[in-house]
Amino acid sequence: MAPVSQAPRRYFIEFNVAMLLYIATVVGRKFVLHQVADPTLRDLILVSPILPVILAALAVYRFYRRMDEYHKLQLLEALAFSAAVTAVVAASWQFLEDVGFPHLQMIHAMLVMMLTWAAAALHMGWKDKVSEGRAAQTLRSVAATLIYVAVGTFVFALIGGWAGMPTPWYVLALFATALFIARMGFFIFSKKSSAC
Amino acid sequence: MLNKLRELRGERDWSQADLAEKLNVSRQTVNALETGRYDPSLPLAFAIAKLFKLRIEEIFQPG
Repeated sequence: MAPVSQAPRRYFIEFNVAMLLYIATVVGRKFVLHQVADPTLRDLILVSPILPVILAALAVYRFYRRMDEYHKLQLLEALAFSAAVTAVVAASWQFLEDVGFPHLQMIHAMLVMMLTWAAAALHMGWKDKVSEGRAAQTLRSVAATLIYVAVGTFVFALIGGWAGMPTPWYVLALFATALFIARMGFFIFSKKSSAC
Repeated sequence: MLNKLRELRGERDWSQADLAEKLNVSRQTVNALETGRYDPSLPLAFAIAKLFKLRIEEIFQPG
C-alpha cells in the first residue's frame, strides 16, 4: 500500500491536470468548432469538457481511496453535509422562484455543493489545527497566502495597465487561482510528511 | 474510548509524525487518536497494538 503521505501530492497532480484539460476543452472548442462541418464531430467537440470533469471526479475518488481512515471519515462527513444543504437549497429554490427569485440551472446546484463541501472540510481542518495547537500558525499561513495572491494579482494587473492592455476581471481571477494553486503545490510538495 | 497512545509514544521518544509514518496514517490522525476525538477501526487498533507489542485492551479502554 502506498504511503498516505503521498496521497495529497498525487491528488494535486491528477486534479490539476484534469482542470487544465477542462480549461483547454472549454476554451479550445470555441476555436475549433467553426472549422468542423460534420455534425457528429461538432457535438463531440461541444461535449468534450465532460471528459475532464469525469477525470476530476476520478481524481477525487482516487484521493479518497489513498486517504487514511480518519480523513476518509472527514471527507464523507463533509460530503454528507454538502449533499444535505444542496438538497434543501434545490428543493426550496423552486418555491423561491415563485416569489421572484431568479431561475437557476443545474450548474448552480453543483456550485452550492462544492462551496458547502469546501466549507465543511475547512471547518474540520480548522478544528484539527486548534486541537494540535497550530491555530496561530495556520492563520499566519492563510494570511501569507492571501497577501501573496492579492499582491501577485495586483502586480499582474499593474503590468497589464502599464503595457496599455487592461486585464479583464476573468483573466485576473484565473491568474489569482493559478497563484493559489502554485502556493498549495509548494506546501504539498515541500512537506516531508502528510499534508492531507 | 480512552487510550495510552501519547504515553506510549512519549516513552519511545517518537513524534506524532514518526508514529504516523510507522502506522501509515497522517499526523492529524495520530493527533485525533491521542486527543480522543477519533476511535480507530479494528485493523488500525491491531496495527497500533502490534507496533507497541501490547494487546489492544492494554492500549484502549472504554471511556
